[in-house]
Amino acid sequence: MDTLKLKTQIIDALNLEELKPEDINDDAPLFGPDGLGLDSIDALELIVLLEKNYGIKLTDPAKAKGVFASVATMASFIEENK
Amino acid sequence: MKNKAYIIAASAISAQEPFSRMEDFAALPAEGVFVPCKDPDFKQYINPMAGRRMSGILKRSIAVSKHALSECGIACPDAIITGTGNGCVSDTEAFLTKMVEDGESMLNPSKFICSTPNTIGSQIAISLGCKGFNSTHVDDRFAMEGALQDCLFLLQKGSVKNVLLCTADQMTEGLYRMLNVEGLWKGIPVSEGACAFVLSSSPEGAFAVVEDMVQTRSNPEWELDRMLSSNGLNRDDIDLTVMPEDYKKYCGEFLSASAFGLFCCCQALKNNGARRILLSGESSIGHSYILLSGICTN
Repeated sequence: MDTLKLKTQIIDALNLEELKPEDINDDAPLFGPDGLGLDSIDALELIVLLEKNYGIKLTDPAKAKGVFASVATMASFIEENK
Repeated sequence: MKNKAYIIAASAISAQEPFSRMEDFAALPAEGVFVPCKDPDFKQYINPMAGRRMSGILKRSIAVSKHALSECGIACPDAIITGTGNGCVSDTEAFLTKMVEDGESMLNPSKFICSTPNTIGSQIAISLGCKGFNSTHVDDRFAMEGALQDCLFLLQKGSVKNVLLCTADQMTEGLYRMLNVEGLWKGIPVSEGACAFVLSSSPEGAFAVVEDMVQTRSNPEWELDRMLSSNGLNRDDIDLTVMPEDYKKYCGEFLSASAFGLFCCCQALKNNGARRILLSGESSIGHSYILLSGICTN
């Protein structure tokens, strides 16, 4: 899928005003000090993003860690579930 | 035991220049007009990653708190007590609007979390790494007074040595429109603001003392005389009585504006040589009186 569009949606949903889509590497970790440094509230926002923009409900919390590992893993999850 | 505390720092963000002193204040324009806050550079006080979810009221509260704490050299207070009339209005509006737009099917987590009034005190605590006592008073025009009384009780109890008191209110287009319909703006401009004070049980570094305070829903004159009498004073011992109209011409109308009045009293006691000031406040439900005195720092 188009990761540029997904990155724009992430930036808007999380108010990452200082970032542009091209600043985010597809495989860079979204959470933790080595990546974007997102936190648990951002994870909730990403769950809402998936439901609102793609109609996908993340019902199994255990899957969230893998789904939200990077933009690439999110894109794959969307492709598999839409 | 006396209901008393020492003030060791005071700071304000208002429609005046950020962190300016009373002698630099200018009267705000005509009544009914909304005059927004003049904000400082928030990047000096808030990490951009942490600040991205914060509305103006949260950023102001953190910035003014850190400014006051830096004034008295305290990195982390023993307790944080917050007073607000309306809380985080812009986040509440955004949260409710989104909920309606989405057919009440999903919450907007960030706005929901930030919409509660006690978010202000929580965000200050997170920003300072303060794990001490934290409480919030939401009480229309007496939010500052309730929070101040809580500070006095806490210091009197002896469980803490210092307390950060922060007050904040904000105006939004929606709230302004609603209150304007009710014709609430009479003779004064409309604004918003945040104030912070550091109170201590010790006189070290203090420039003013909260000698006593009283809030009453009836017989304000009698309650005032009773408070003065219990401090061995009468009305002739008051050098200056500060009424709401005295400071609202500089800060405008907002629910916790009396905190700006307290800030002005602190400035007068610290820099202008006043000795004993009575800060008078009133709302539709009652009156408040705060008795303050200066400390000679020379």
